[in-house]
Amino acid sequence: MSHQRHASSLAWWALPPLLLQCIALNWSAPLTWPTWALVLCALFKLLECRRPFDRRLVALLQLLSTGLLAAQLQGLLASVLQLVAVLLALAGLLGHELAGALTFRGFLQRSLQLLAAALPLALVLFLFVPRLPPLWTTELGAARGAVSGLSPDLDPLSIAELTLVEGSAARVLLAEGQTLPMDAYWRVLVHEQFDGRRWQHRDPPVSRGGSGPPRVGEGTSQWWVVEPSATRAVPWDGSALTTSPDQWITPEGELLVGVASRQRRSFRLQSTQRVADWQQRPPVSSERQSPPDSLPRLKALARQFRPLPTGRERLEAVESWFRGQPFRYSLQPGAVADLDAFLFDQQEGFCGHYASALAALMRAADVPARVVSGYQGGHVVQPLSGNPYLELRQRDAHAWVELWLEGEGWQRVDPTLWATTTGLPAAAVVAESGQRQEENVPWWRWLQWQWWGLDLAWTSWWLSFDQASQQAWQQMLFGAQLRWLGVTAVVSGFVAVAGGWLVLHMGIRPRSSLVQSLRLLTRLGVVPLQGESFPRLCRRAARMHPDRATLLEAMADQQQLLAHAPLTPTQRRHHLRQWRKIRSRLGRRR
Amino acid sequence: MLHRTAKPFFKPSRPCAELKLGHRSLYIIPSRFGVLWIAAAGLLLLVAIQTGSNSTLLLAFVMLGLMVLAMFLTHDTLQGLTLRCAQPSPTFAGEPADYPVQLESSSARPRCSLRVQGHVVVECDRIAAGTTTLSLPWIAENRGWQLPPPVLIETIAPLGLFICWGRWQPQQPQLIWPRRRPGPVGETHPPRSRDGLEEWQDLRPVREGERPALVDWASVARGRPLQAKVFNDPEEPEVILAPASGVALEAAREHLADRIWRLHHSGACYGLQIRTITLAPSKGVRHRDACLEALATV
Amino acid sequence: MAAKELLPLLDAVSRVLLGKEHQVRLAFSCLLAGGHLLIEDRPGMGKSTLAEALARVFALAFKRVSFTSDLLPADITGLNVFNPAEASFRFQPGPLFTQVLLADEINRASPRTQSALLEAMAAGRVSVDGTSHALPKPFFVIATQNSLDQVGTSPLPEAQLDRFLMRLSLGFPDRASERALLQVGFDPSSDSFPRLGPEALQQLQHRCSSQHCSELLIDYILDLVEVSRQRQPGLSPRASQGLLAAARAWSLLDGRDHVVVDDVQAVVPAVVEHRLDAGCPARHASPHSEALLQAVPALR
Repeated sequence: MSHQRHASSLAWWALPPLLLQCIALNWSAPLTWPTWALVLCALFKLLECRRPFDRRLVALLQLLSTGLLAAQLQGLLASVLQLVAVLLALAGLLGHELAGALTFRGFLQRSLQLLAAALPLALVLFLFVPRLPPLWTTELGAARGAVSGLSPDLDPLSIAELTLVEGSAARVLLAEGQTLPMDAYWRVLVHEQFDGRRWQHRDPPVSRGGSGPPRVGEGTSQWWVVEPSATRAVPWDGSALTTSPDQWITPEGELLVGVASRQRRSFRLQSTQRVADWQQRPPVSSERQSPPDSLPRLKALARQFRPLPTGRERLEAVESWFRGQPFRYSLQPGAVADLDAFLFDQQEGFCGHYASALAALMRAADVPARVVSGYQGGHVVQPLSGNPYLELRQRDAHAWVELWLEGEGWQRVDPTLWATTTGLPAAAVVAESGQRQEENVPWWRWLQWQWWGLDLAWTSWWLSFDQASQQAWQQMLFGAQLRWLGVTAVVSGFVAVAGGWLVLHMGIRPRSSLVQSLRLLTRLGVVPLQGESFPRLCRRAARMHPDRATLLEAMADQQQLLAHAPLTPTQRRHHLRQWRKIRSRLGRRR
Repeated sequence: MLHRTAKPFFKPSRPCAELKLGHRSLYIIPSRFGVLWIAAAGLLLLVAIQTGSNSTLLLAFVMLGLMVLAMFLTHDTLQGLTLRCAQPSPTFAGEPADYPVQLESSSARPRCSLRVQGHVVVECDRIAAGTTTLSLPWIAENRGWQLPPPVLIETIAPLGLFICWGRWQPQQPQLIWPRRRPGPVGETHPPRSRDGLEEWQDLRPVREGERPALVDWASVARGRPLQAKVFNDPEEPEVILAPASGVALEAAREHLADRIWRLHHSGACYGLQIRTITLAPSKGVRHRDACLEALATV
Repeated sequence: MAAKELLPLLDAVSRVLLGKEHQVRLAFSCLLAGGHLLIEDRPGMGKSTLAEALARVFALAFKRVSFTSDLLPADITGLNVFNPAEASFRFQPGPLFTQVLLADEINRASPRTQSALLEAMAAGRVSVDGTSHALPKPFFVIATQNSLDQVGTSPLPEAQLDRFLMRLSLGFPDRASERALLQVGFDPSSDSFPRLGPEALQQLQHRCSSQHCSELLIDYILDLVEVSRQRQPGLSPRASQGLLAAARAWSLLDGRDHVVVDDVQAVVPAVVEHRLDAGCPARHASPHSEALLQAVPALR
């Protein structure tokens, strides 16, 4: 019965990796429910399995749920867990038929071998079968949640004290040869609705195609890994192009990837130098809406700037007004009653205060304006595993203003730069000077950086092969002779199957000394008779090959000692050594 | 023409002493699980296309690759296996008979199942390298030397994705005794008597030099003179069986078979007379088998 | 090493029974395993010689009873004889009270006498008129049986055969051995035998029962028993115990401290055959034990 136990324990072991990944799934994603259902189905089927067919079904369910998980979680850790789950599910499947023939380890080895044998054909298909765009698109609902970080509501006035959170927000790896920008602005959310106090982010209507179909073969790649956040929008540089159908850019200039999720998202973008569409989109009415009358002093100030003819001149006038006032940057501004109080009385605050104040002021001065929140700067990490990457942390969160200037489109203005930054910890300064050399990095932080480095490397490697790169690759290989593609694919398919078959037949190294000895004897032309014991077989072999008689008899002795004698571990090792020596000598004399 | 293509599946196989399974004698099709497997791979393919996920796509292709490999692996499980008849032992008609089959293989093979067509399946967990003997149960309806229906060997190992099977008509007939059915048989008792030692029946005066074991010491203790015991063997009944008169010969055979079996188990001494054959009274397994064989074949 | 003490003894007995090394070895294993031996052969093949030689090398008390058709159970077990002088019964032990008993031509005796012997063999004690008398130790019975085609015999019942650990057939010696026999002759009563005392024998028997048995080997024996049970009559649990005990003794004779498959295979014909053929040795067809050995894969 022990083999049955092996087989079912293998199937049980495949469940923890699956459940672990399921927990990381986001409930709002449409695939989450079927995935959970499949994993639970496998669990209950395993509890209740009576016939061999049920056990095989469990393995199939496990493979299926791994496939669904793989569609949603693509990080390094998830991929490793998926591989483990596939291996264990296969081992479980093998276990039912090879009952009793192998140990736990043997099953794992055998399933690894099976996987290795199936891989060549799978890779040929993977490389040659043309990628299809999605057959239909689904309406993906937005999710709401409250994970620390950027919030859809920008309400700096209620925050008496801002704590800097060390948590990582996102990591980006650029294609080789690209230098990492140290002080770039990574936009995430656009807040265009102002109620006199808060700047609110409006969820974009679920209109796909803001960016159109992915464009092919332009620019270099950026690989992003974004930590779970409350928003669908992810950081980007404002000019890159999307590469997959589940990424799109809203008219306001937000990049949405998949669904807003509590799971880590990995994706690829393409850098470009072109001016993005959103920058040229004329302001809509909500972006022109004047602040409410509850801010009399602000409105009065704005009225002074209105006579100026262009938006650019009004901006310069406002800047010089700001610089003329004793504004100070502070993370502990205390409670502020309203923007009037901030602008004219308190004059102390952080980026949120400055951005909302400037945007309100510009709107009151009849210049379309909105607040953008995102990240600024970042920290370059040089992992042992290779390319450096830029890490954006929650403390790098920042807010700035975008103004519509005639003839220039939407332009970024960062009013926080206008304030004096005296008496502050260097780290808190908004315009962090890019790369900081941190002296005392805690060990866990260091390990985390290394892991993220690997994770990004995996992401950049594994995500980079999509429809576009497949076409590029085939173009490079076959050039104009694309009609040979089919022939090559078929031929390499056959080669792959033959290769897999060979892997299965050549690669098996039986572990038991008896099986190995029998294999050796078979090569000598000695096949066991019915009910023949091993020493007898060896004696018969010795009669057939008198020149090897002593070796054959010695092999029988050692094998019998190993199989039947009461041996201490040391003795066992000794006899195993002896036996291996004899086997190799016998093998050599063929 | 259609007849010709369908032939390998339907023609009655010619009996042969041994069959080495190979391309010409093995058939293979995907199993129910294999069809499910393909469907699952197709579903994953669809998910991969919808989500653009490389991992899912690769997994779907790995599953397809395994399906293709499984075809070869399942075929290899049986290919090269030699089926051979062993010496079958006789059984009664209408009762489970064991037909011994030897499997000869140069290497160890995973699980397969064998059955005599239309009878119980025998699972063979693992075929060791060398020769393995299996008994396949079947039930013969008629007496005499009978050939069992064709033997089917079938496997889904190692992955359960394909079913591979072969068919073999063995050549070695099995001796089937007549059905056992209680009924009247003709009996004659030959005269027989013998002195023995089994039971003491009488006492006689002790002679000179008598063994002490013969002396009845109990009566000596009661003060009687020394007396020796006289022993005699109990009469052991002997019977010669023959078909009862007025019963059809086939029915009589069945009654005789039942009677012989029961007499053998009670340890009785019996002989048989049927048609031209007469077997002298005796006992033991060999005698029983000889009688039953005569019943089955004469 | 046990074999070292036993080798000269084996040698000596083999010198008496020329050309029968294998049978002598089996008889030794039977003795070491504490079982009883049934020798089946024609008269004059050296059965008594073997029994006597075995008794002599271990310096055991030896008695011989020729079983005849008029032999009573009391003739071998002994009986309570009335002594008129003391007016009481006194137990007079029979020839069973010895260490090695040669029961010659056991199939000539009546079934009642046979079963009296077999019960004493199994229990190691004799019960007469309600009083039980222990037999000496070690107690070893070598019963001989005429081949069955001889007239006037009653073969041992199938169930009783199980009480013998082994059945041997000595068979004719080969030409060279017979030539030596004719030229040299031998005298089993000569004093040139090496001796080992009964205590040494008991020590060896104890050692025998503690020979190491691997799980693989137990599995092999279980497989054998299982296969035999697919046919009627199968091997009893007593038979499987006996098989293991005999294999242990054989491994001890081979000078090993553990049992291997070969040991089991060597003793299977002697231990198993008489339990499977129901007392009717197949003269022409292949023996049951051979089929059994072939049916069970032995590569382990």
